[in-house]
Amino acid sequence: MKKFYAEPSNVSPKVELDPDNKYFEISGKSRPENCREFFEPILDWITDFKKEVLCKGSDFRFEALLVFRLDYFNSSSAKFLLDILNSINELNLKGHNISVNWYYENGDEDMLEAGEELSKMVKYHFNYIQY
Amino acid sequence: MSSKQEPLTKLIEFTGVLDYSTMDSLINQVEEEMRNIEKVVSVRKRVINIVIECVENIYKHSKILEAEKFNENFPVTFILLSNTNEYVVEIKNVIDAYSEKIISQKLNFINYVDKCTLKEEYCKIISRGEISEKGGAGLGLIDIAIKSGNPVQYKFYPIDEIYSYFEMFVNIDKK
Repeated sequence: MKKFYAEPSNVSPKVELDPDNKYFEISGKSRPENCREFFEPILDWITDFKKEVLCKGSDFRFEALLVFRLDYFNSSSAKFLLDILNSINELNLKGHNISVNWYYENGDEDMLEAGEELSKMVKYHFNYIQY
Repeated sequence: MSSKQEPLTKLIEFTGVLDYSTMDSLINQVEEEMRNIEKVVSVRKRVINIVIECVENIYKHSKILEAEKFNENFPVTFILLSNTNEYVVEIKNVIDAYSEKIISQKLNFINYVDKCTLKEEYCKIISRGEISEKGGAGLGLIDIAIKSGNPVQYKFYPIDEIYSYFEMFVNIDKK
């Protein structure tokens, strides 16, 4: 499947969803003027990708790394980050393995806590990495 | 305005009509100022996050109310202040009676409950969260209160039977 890529801007994160390299990343700042417009194509891509993975049959196991390295995100973005995680977690629940690395700047307790809250809400384990 | 007595110094002040590009440059200005003056990462990021939520809230309300017509007497106001103990974000903007009711209920709740309950409420809203027509998810004020860790001070000054001038102060400890 063709990879998804969104260039980072001063208000929106870099989004790289690259199944061939088993690497997904959302990084930077997230306060787009219209969060729905920004995040919906990402959620649509994930939905299509899930269909493709699930079509490959029960013997196929997809493995990938999902990296979050956010400087900050606004409260509207938080809702969409949760949607992305919930959507991707459907693959994990079906036996695939997408692990999450949640990066936070040294001293940024709020970003660490935000990861912990999201992890609790989607009920899957994150690896927390300080930088 | 502040429970602590030490005088506050204005770091950044904006008064006028807040359109998207003005909001964007205001946030950039705050980011730059905070990078220069605040070395404690958690405090710096807390201030930036709170400012973003505050000005995005104002912007969403301004878009709906065509705030330009109030600009002369009741302009959008944003001020970032500081002393040795804390940062204070002060905002003022016009809102309608419906928003006043919602904001007032939300802030009463926020100031009444503890941080744990606020976090639970945040998770509840985010889990069921529909993004409103205004573009927000109803989370902004809760996020502000969680990050600030202090009661949010606010007041409504009636303009006429429909509109009020809303004033809010958010205190962020330097620690």
